[in-house]
Parts: sequence; C-alpha cells; structure tokens
Amino acid sequence: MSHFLLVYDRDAGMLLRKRRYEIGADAMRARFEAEGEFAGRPEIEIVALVAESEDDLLVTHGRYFLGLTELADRIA
Amino acid sequence: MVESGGLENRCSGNPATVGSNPTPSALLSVHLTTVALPRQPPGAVQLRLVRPRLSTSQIERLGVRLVESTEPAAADLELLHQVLGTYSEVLAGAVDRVREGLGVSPTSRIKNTGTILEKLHRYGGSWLKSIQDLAGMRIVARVDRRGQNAIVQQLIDVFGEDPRSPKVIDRRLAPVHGYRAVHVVVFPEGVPVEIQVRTLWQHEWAELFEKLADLVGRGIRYGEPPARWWSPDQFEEMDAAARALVLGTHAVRTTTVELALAVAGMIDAVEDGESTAPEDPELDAYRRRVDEALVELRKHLEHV
Repeated sequence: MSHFLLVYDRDAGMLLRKRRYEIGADAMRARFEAEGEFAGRPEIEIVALVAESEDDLLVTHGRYFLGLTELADRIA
Repeated sequence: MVESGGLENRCSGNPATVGSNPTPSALLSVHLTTVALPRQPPGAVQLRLVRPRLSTSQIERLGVRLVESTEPAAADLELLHQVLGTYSEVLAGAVDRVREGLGVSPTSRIKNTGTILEKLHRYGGSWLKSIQDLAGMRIVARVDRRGQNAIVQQLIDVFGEDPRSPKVIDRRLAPVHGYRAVHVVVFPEGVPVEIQVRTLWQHEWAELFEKLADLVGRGIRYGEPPARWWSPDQFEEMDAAARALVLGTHAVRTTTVELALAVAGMIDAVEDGESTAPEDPELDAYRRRVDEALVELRKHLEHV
C-alpha cells in the first residue's frame, strides 16, 4: 500500500502538493507538519490517503485531482 | 508478535493513568491486550501491545478543550494526533481484512484535523468521543443497488465476529442533504471504522457536490444556503447595479444547489427502479437522463 499526502486549495480547486510515502507513520508525520504549515487557512485541505495505487485514488477521491470537465468526462 | 507504538510510557497489564500531573503523555493509558490479528489461522490469538489510548471521558474533555479557544493548544493537538495515530494503525488492519475478504481495493483516510475542528465547532466539543468516521474507507463499485447490498453483507460477514457488531447506516433511505450511500461502521479492536459503499452514480454526485461546496460554501453539506460574501453594511453601501449583481450571483448558486439535490433524487429513483423493476423497458432512457443531468450539473458548477 502507498500513502499519499495531498494539499488541496478548495478556493482555487487546485492540488498544491502531492507526495507519496511507503511508510504510513511518515505520511502521518508529514500530514501533521503540513497542517501546522497551513494553520489558519481554512481553504487549504490537507489529506493523507492510503491506496494500493494512484489510479485507485483517482476513482475514489477524484475531486482532488480532476477539474470539473475531467469529472464530467468520467461520468459520460 | 509485539508491535511498538508510543512505548515511551511504562507498560501495565491493566489500563492505567500514568503520573499525577496531567501532561499530554501522562493522560494516556497503556493497554496490553490480546487480539486476533488478520492473516492468522482462524482462532489464532496473539499478544499485541496497542498504542496508548485515551479513555472516552479523556477524549470528550479533549474535544471540549479543542474548541474552547480559536487556537487549540499545542499539547491538545499533540494528544489528538496520538489518537489519530492509534486509529491509523487499526484502520490499516481493517483495510487488509476488506481486501482479503472482499477482493476489492478500498482507499482509506484518517479525517484531517481541519475537518475534525470544523465539526467540533458545529456539533460541540463533546462530539469527539462519539465520532465514528475518524477512520474511514471508501469502496466505489460499478454495481446496482442489489450489488451494493451484497457488498454491505460481505462487510458484515467479515467484521461480524468482532466483539461489537457492525452498524449499517443506509443513507439511501435517510439521505443527508442529497448524499446517498451505505455506510457500514465496523469496530476492529473496538475502534470505529466507517466504510462508505457507493455506487458509481452516488459517488459521482458526491464528488460534484463537494466541488460545489468548495465553490459556494461548505455549509450546503449541512443543508445551509450558499454562503453570502458580503456584510449588511457592505450591501448598504452598494449601488443598485452592484446589489443586483451580488443577489443574482447568490441566486444562481442557490439554484445550482437545488439542481444538485434534484439530480440526487433522480439517481435515487433510477437506482430504486433497477432493483425493484429491472425489466422496465424505460430504464435505459432514465439512465441516460441521469447521465445528462450530471453533465448539466457540471456546466452549472462552471458558472458559480
């Protein structure tokens, strides 16, 4: 399993950071550090996700990676 | 096998609070416990040292403290992180059980601190002790409602032997502001883990609604209207054109939320039809309408 740290700007609809970790504790530590780094900015969402592959994440958490058009293309 | 985690505290055979002064680490209790681990022969029991855990009342008090001030104390955030670390370890084991038991590849996450604090401010600090989705998994499947039910049953079977039985929350019967899915809360090692089981349509709708919430205000996920971005004083100072512009923009946003809720209702109706009247010759036409409505919703999102 791989661990992904995402930093997402809700206002801009843009993924600011994506890092991959092989060890869960490292990802959690990085997540807490990022939460400190972006403290006081509620528009910034910091997420640590675990998945077998990035493709799986695109399916279950596509909104962090895909724009509206790409999401719609996925539906069509 | 002995797993380490937060072993800076002394181990005890019984839960014990360490120290007399309530520093963050001293508030923790250490448990030595016997648990059945995944990937073991049926009935196998091994000794395992579980991360230090807070008691329910300690978690409740932590939640209250976290929302007492606008800026949570560093020590309390550290405690929260330790709780989340424990959940993360349990979640990893639960994911293994789902992968092996169902042959699917769920993704998982521990709820982020910002969302936890957002919910604590909304529902009150004591809510932290009863939160059931700190640890979560998501399964998105290309199935109809009967297939969704089958996945739910498989999850119940996989986790049904745990000391606390799984709890099914059917958000198709009781949707939350348009959101539909089935959530199964399981309790590996007594820790709640919420597993979201979604059909493709339920999932696509939820993703679009999250995008919409990012654009018009996250309160819509709780049934609130789109956020206003102007104050009454600012409105007083606007000329007629500016007032028309902000009110019109807000109306477009409100209409888009209403459209999203209508699309959610269409999805529900067609999915219900698939399970109750699968031979209905009109179903394909209804499915196309749902697809078209989802694309239409996306177009509206582009204009808010």
